[in-house]
Amino acid sequence: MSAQLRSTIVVAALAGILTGGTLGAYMARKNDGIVESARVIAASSATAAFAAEQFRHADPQHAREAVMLQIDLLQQFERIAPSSVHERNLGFAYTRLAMVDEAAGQKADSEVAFQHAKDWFQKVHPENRLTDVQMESFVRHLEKPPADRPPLP
Amino acid sequence: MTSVRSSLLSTVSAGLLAFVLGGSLSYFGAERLTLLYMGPSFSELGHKEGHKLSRVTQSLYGLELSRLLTQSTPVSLQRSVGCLRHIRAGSPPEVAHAIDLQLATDYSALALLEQQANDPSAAASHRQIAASLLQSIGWKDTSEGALDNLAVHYMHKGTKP
Repeated sequence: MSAQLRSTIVVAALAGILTGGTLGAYMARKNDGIVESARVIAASSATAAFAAEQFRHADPQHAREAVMLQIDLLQQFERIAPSSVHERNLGFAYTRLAMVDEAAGQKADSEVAFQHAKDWFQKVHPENRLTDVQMESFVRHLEKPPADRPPLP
Repeated sequence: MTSVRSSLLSTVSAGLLAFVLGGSLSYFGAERLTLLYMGPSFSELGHKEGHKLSRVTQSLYGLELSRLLTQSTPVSLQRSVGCLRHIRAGSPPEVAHAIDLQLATDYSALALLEQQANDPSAAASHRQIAASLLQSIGWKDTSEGALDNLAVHYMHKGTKP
C-alpha cells in the first residue's frame, strides 16, 4: 500500500468517525425527545379514556382509582414540563374526581376536588372563574361523541 | 496516464469506503453512548421515580398503540389480545386495570364477531373472559347486552371503549 493511499484512508476514516459521531449523538437526543413526547401524549389519552369509562360503568372505588391514576400521571408530567395542556387536563380530571366523590356521597372530598379543579383551570384562564356546575357540564359534554355534543352555552 | 487514473480511482474508492465504515460505526456507537449517558426517560424526577414513570408510560403507550392499530377482524383482535397480555405481564400494577379494560373490550368484540359467524361456543367462552375481567375492575353491569354495547362502540364508531 502506498503512503498516499494509507494517508487517504486514515484521513477519510477520521472524517467519517467525526461526522458519524456528531450525527449519532444528535439523532439520539432528537429521537429520545420524540419518543418521550409520544409516550406522554399516549399516557394522557389512555388514562383519560380509562377514567371516563370507569366513571360511567364501575363502582365508586374503581372509578376513583382510575381518575387518581390520571391525576398522578398528569401531575408528574406537569412537574417535568409545565404546560397549559396538562393544567387543563388536571382541571378536568379533578372535576371528574369531584363527581365521583359526590356520587359516592363524599361531599367534603368532592368540595376539595372541585377547589383543585378550579385552581388548575384558573392557571389556564386567569380571567374566568368557573362554577362547579360549569366544570361538571364541561366534563359531561366531553364524554359525548363529537357528533352528539350540543353547543356549549 | 491509465495507471495514474486507476491509482486515483482506487485511492478515492478506498477513502470513501473508510469514510462510510468509520462513519457508520461511529454513528451507532455515539447513539448508544448518548442514550446510555442520558439515562432513562423522565430522569428529571430522579432515578427511581423517573424509571417508574418510564415503565408506566411505556405500558400505556403500548396500550394506546394497540387500540389505534387494532381492526375489527378476528385475526387483528387475537393479535391485540396477545400483545396486551404481553404488555400486562411486564407492566407496573397501577396500569393493570387500564389494560384489563382494553382486553375485555377486545374479547367482547371477538365474541360479537364469533356470534355473527355462527360460533356460539367460542363467543360464550370469550364473553365469559370479558365479563370476568370487567368484574375485576368494578363494572356494575357485565350482562351480554353490556358487553355487546362495549364491542359495538369500539368496532363501529371508532371511539374509545
